[in-house]
Amino acid sequence: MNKTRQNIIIFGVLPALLLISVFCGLSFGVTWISPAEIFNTPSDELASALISLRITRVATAFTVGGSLAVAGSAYQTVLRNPLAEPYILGISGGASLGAAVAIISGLSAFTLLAVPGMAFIFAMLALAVVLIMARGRFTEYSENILLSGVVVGAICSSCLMFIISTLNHYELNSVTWWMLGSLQAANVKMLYAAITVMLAGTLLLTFHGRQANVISLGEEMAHNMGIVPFRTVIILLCTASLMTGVSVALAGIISFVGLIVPHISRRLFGADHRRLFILNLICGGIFLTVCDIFSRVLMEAQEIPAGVITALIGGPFFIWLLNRRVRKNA
Amino acid sequence: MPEILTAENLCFSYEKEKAILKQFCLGVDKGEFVGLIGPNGSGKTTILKLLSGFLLPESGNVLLDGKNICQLSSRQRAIKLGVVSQLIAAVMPFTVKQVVEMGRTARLSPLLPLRQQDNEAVCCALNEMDIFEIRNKLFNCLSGGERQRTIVAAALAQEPEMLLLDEPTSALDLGHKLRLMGLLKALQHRGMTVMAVSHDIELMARFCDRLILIKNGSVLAAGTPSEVIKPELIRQAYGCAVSVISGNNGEPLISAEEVQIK
Repeated sequence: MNKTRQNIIIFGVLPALLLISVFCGLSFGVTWISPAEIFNTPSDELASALISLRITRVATAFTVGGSLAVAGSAYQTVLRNPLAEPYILGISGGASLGAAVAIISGLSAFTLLAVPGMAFIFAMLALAVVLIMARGRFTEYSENILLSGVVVGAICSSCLMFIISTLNHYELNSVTWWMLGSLQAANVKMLYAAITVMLAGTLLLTFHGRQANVISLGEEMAHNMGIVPFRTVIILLCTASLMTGVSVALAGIISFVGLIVPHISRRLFGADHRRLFILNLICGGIFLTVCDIFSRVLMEAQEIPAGVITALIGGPFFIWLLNRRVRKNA
Repeated sequence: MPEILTAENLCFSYEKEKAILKQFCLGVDKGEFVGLIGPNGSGKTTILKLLSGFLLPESGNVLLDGKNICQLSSRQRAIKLGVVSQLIAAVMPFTVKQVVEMGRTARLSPLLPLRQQDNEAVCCALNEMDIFEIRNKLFNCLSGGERQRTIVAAALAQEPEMLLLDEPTSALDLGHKLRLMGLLKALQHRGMTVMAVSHDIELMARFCDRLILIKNGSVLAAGTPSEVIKPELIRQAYGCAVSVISGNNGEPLISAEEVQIK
């Protein structure tokens, strides 16, 4: 795509989409709130509370979508695999196990940081296991990593189920609610923490954008061009895992956002990571905000979890990408 | 001329008790054009990776301009030493120009755009490798030869003092092959040191000042092309009988004496 078109999308279409999705996110739901009511002081307390809840919800959707898209983009670059994504790599599974452990062990009662902290630690552990399992000759590595991710994701899911099977009624209730996943953040402080991680993580990754470009050509090329591959890889993977861990801690597992959004962004804006991480943040935020609107309006008087919508779009998208890759390699 | 690159007693193995290199020594003088030749599996690429600092030796040192390469920062190393590795595939949709611009990484701060001198170096590299016309094409949609020229251009954009090239002509047609070797010779005349690995012995004999023939990780012969390209040495290294004749410019040309077809 030529630069003029890219600039029209970046400076015209994206801000417009962002505004539209935010206003739709605030307006749509079981109860319709008109944009005029959002701007003016609501007449009754109920409307005021509803707007406040919707603002939190839209902010959560934007934060989680943006973080997962940026994390997915970082994983794809470092692992040199366009199919890599936090959910497929088993990292979301690891994070959810960590978050569940924090809730069940009672750690979450002591400090706000327990759930995202444990989610991050378990996300890193899952990533380490995936990388160790995938070790092999480089040509196989890229493929092995996906298989290892599926295995690690399944193991984490089994561990989670085992833990759940041992819970008492009260613990079961709190974990089940968290596992269902919701973009209505129960804890606003956690949302602020997630927004901070999203912004700081994206800035850090953008700062390393030039190195990320080079690392996507392989470690040897990166070394030859004056980069320390190990340091760059660690920075990118740790930042992506932290963003994934915090997102999972905030909203449960939301799959495929980290696959769909970076792929579309690369098609629209090219592969230069100095701006791609920021664009992924905006596109991911818009994508999940829109998915969340659908989750609220598709069925009358009932919500579909946003993760279901992203999985329904992402599953076929993943198969299409996989087929395209196989055809390309044939 | 002082040595720009020195390998001192390098020992290296990928697997335990299967040594690829044993006490390997090598010296390259400033401004020299050296060719590394040898049969498949003799350790040429491994030597290049050790010399570039990508692989670390089990024992021994690599000195770049008198300093241990491990003690140089990655930026310092990349400004002095440009490396063209074997063909790569880009997973991300980078254009040819973007890949060549990456050659400037060591000379740039993380976020700032390319300066005028960077743009000039990139433009010059694109022109020298005859890829200016295709600069906006996607790298992963190029032919093998075009990709190879792009990687060489990225190393040229680095503007290093020395170039290490691993089979830089393996995917090139005859015209581009001769043009690349001619360019490397011209760079040598401008003061750059060049060391290339290749299977094309005659091409290396024509352009290099010195050839190093490697077999099983050690130097079988080193010297001027006419000193190294001798039937007996070729037979020892490659296990085939050849005769060597002189070309129009005195360069050695190889002709296989007999080919056994089983």
